Amino acid sequence: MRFRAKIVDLACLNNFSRVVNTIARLAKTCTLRLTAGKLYFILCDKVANGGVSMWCELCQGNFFDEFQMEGVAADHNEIYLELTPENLSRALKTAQSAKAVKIKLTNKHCPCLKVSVELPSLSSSSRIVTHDIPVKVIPRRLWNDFREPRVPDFDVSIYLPALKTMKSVVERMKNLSHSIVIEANLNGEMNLKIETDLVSVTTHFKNLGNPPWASEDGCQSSAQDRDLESMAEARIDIKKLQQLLAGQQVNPTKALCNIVSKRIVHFILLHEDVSLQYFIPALA
Amino acid sequence: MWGPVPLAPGPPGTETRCPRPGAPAPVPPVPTLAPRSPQPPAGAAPCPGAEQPHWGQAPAGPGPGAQQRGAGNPRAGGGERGRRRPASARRGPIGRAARRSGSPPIRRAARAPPSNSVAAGPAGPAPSRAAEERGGAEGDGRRAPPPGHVRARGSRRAGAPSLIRASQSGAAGGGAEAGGRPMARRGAGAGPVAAAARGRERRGRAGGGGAGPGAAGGGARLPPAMKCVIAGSNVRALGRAVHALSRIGDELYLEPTGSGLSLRAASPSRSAFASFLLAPLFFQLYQPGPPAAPPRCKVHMKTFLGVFRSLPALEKTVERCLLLLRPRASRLVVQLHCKYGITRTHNLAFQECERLQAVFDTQRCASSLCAPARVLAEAVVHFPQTLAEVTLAAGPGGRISLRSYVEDEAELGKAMVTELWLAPDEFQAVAVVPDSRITFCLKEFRGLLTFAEASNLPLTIHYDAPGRPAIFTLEDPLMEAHLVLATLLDPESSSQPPAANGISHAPAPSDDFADDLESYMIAMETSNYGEDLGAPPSPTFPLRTPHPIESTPQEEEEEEEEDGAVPGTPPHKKFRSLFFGSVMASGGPSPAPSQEVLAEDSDGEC
Amino acid sequence: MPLSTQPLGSGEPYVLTASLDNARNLSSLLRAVQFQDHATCFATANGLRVTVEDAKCIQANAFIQADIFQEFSVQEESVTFRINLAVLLDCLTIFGASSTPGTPTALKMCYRGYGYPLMLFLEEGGVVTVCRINTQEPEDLLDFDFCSTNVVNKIILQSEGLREAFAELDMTSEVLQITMSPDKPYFRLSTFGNAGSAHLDYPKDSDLVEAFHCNQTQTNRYKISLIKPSTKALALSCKVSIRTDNRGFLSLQYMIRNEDGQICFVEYYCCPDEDIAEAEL
Repeated sequence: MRFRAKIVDLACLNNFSRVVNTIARLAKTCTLRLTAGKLYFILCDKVANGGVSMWCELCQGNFFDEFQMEGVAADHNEIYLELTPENLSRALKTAQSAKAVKIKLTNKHCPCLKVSVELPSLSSSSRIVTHDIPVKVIPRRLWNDFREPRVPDFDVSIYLPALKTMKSVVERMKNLSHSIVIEANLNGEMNLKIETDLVSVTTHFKNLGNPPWASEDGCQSSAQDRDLESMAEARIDIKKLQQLLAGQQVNPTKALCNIVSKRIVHFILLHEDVSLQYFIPALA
Repeated sequence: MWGPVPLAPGPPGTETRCPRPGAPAPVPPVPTLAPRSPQPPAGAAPCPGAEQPHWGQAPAGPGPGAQQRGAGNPRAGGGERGRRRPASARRGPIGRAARRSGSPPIRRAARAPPSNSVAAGPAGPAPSRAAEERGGAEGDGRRAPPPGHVRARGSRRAGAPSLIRASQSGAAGGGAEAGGRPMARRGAGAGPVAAAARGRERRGRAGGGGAGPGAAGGGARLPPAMKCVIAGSNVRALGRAVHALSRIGDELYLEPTGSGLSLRAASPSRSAFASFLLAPLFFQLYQPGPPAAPPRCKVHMKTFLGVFRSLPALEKTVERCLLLLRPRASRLVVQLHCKYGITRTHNLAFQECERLQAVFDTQRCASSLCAPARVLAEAVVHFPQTLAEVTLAAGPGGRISLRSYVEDEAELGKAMVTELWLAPDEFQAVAVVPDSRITFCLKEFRGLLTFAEASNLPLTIHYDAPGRPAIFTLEDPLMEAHLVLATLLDPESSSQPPAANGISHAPAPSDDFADDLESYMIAMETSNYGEDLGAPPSPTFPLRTPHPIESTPQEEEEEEEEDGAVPGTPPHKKFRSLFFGSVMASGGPSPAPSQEVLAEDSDGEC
Repeated sequence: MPLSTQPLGSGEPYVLTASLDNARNLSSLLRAVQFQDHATCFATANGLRVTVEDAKCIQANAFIQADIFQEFSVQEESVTFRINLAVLLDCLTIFGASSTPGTPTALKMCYRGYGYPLMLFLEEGGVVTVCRINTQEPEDLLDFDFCSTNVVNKIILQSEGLREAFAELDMTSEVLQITMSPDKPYFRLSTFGNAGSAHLDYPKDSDLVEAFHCNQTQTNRYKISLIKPSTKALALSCKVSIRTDNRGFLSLQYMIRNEDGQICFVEYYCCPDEDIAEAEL
């Protein structure tokens, strides 16, 4: 099992930091899955399905100038590590002016991701900072726990409004209520609602558009037969939604959500080749 | 429960909602928003509009005066019944008077004691501090309370400092003794003793004479024991120094000396000590006071820091700073002269105190490093704020490394470890023992670095074997700063602890042992108020004192537990204490010269 | 019934209708008096007054005169209701509290009368938010009976001069003592905290002092915890008028210029600290 990678380009480094920062804001610990072509940050909160889950996928080729990995075995050419993304985020934070950043899997005292940052200095030689981030290697028998989640059989899929506006609205609503109802229809309309003894607030978004989902097997999803005006809704924990909106630093070019009535809300944020999926279960 | 309030039929109006006197009257009957009837009845209050011209700009609509009763709405109106009066108006004599007489009561006249001499009178030439604070500031003295009351208050207040003193002295180990017997050491000289006794008497009375330029009370003004004036940019430097010191300890020790004003602090666990010496050149005016009796005092760090809290504000508004030490008033006066002629005067309580002295010798340190503060600041930035300690090591090729110190073996697999290498040519000077290394606390170091970076000064690190303190120094013509930090004993060598061990219970150590200790021991010396500055403290004194040690039960417990460990060094952390011992006077009436070392956990510190 | 489908013009007529192109002109003033959760709103044809009180010793009033609004109509002589101010502010700033130039939030505010909720319609960039805030039985307000004929001393200051002073008030002091005098020290703020006293002196000829009308020396103490909330108003204001009357009551009037350059006022009244006054008798 070997892994080493290197980033030289500052813009790539910057983008990679932003992804890692986002993950760090959303998950205390997560799984890093490495394959020959991709990196995945995975959070599976299995606590009776009460928690959220996250799946973030990026192409190594768009970030790394060098990327070598050897998996557990030739036919399972993958590595699964458990780590605290905050550590990685911290290591990259002071690397913004780095000449190069190397990431390497080592096993000196314990398995570590060693992040070596080469910084410019006043002297003739560069200043080198290394961070040993402890990781746990996840054995193969547990890999099945980290399968890519299926896009759920949603009732309505809709593009999200400007995340900045949505973030502001959700933040205010969070001061007023613990849960939020998110509802949308196939006519490009989405509402965010809270209601308490004191106050009820509804924010109406219009003309958002509904993304076309081509089903592979030609079979229509349940969304296809819906009345355009009819709303699908789910009540979710407002803190989880606020965390996603406040934590995301990927500035997605496309953001959408899929609502399975009364069951789950599935968010997808896309930025070039980074995709972040976030699942918030509905409250009973 | 917040739902719409059920309403009696009929349109909501004043009548329906004001069914009887005393019932809630939701609508103030007075439309106070800019009444449209601008004609004030003769003799009535001017209409709100009358307020406007003072603003130099007449606002449209409801003005600030709108709250006042409109001219057309005499308060005798029926709706008035429902309005509540403010608490004090209802309860207080004013309210009653107002209701009785219907005219504005003149409260002060009624209340003023027969004579207004209280503030100045009984207190005599030196008004009590209470009078200064409470009455003295009021020019006319009409509110001056009766003398007995002032006294009571005054004495309560005056009691506070001595309470603090007592409790803190207790916390400071030998300090209690020190506080009680400042004159004992110089038993020979009658003069200082008498002076000190007088001082205590004053303290006992009311806390001394009028302090501060603000005190209107007047009174006999002796020259302050210390007076210094600091100009603009140096006020900022002072502010930054206080910020750096505030990372060290809870008390700030001030001592004006011939070579400058010394500001010092030590951590409660005595594992860190810092001193800033501001040279006379630093000041516009520097009068350290009578050289025969240099005043020493300590103030609460928080209080002093409060004066300089906002560095940007200091930068923007403060033009000059005046520091006055008035031992007679037990006041340290810090006066800031700001833009627009504003003066901020802080009269801070202080305690006369022992001298806080660290004895260290950079010459005895085997290794030293010097680098621009910026290089070190940029290095330290890579370590998380939550990290307590770093290890500095001299590596091959003269390279210097900094590495996160992970305290617990169990933590090793969990905590991120950061390591940084600096090439020798990043330093201005490197003279280190190969393979040497020390571990010290980051927090205090960061504080000094911030100061050094802002002052653009190089910082020198002197260190020796693990377990012996590291000394960080800054120097320029106007000031010098020292930070002395305990270092962690190397785990490998912990089997043979060096010097500083077991002062309080070990048999008298050998001379070289003591010698060793002297080089880095920080002694807290109790010195007489009138003591000669030049007399060096005798840090080794207690080492050679075979007297039994008086220790508190708590300390005894700890001693038992630790079995030979240094008091002041928590067992789980292998920091060598910096050993602030209190060197007691031997000639005094104290039962035995005692040497107590603070036994506080250094957890809060590191 | 979903709020969005509630037609604006139908049903019972509104007793209060107000619209505003920039909701921040209202929210910032309300924030200046937000030191308690509840406020009493009082509207007449002249405008809206929002009053907040605490401890029967302090009262803050924000005045938003009718011409600040683009539309302001009151169908009755006066309209009064009590409302949760924190909730109202969250609603008013639903699209963000910080000002982003060029995208003001438009506001329409409607109230049908006693027992009805206050309705807010906010719009920014085509997104509409509808809020329905329940109102409560209004309570009596304190009457400070602060009358300008009884004003003994008055100083108008540029707010800048007080901002730092208030930010750095020693909160370990129970009281703030205000001395106003025709003679030295003219205007002095004092605190008496755990570790000593502090005095802040303003000369009467300072550039910060716009007007100085002190007739006699007055020294009064006010509970610092009650005075501190006025810092919010101070932060927004450009000038402050400090007045005391013959009973030692304090009035602080803050002149606040909104984003559109209009002038509004916030006023704080405070009783002198009676505990001390009584104790000194």
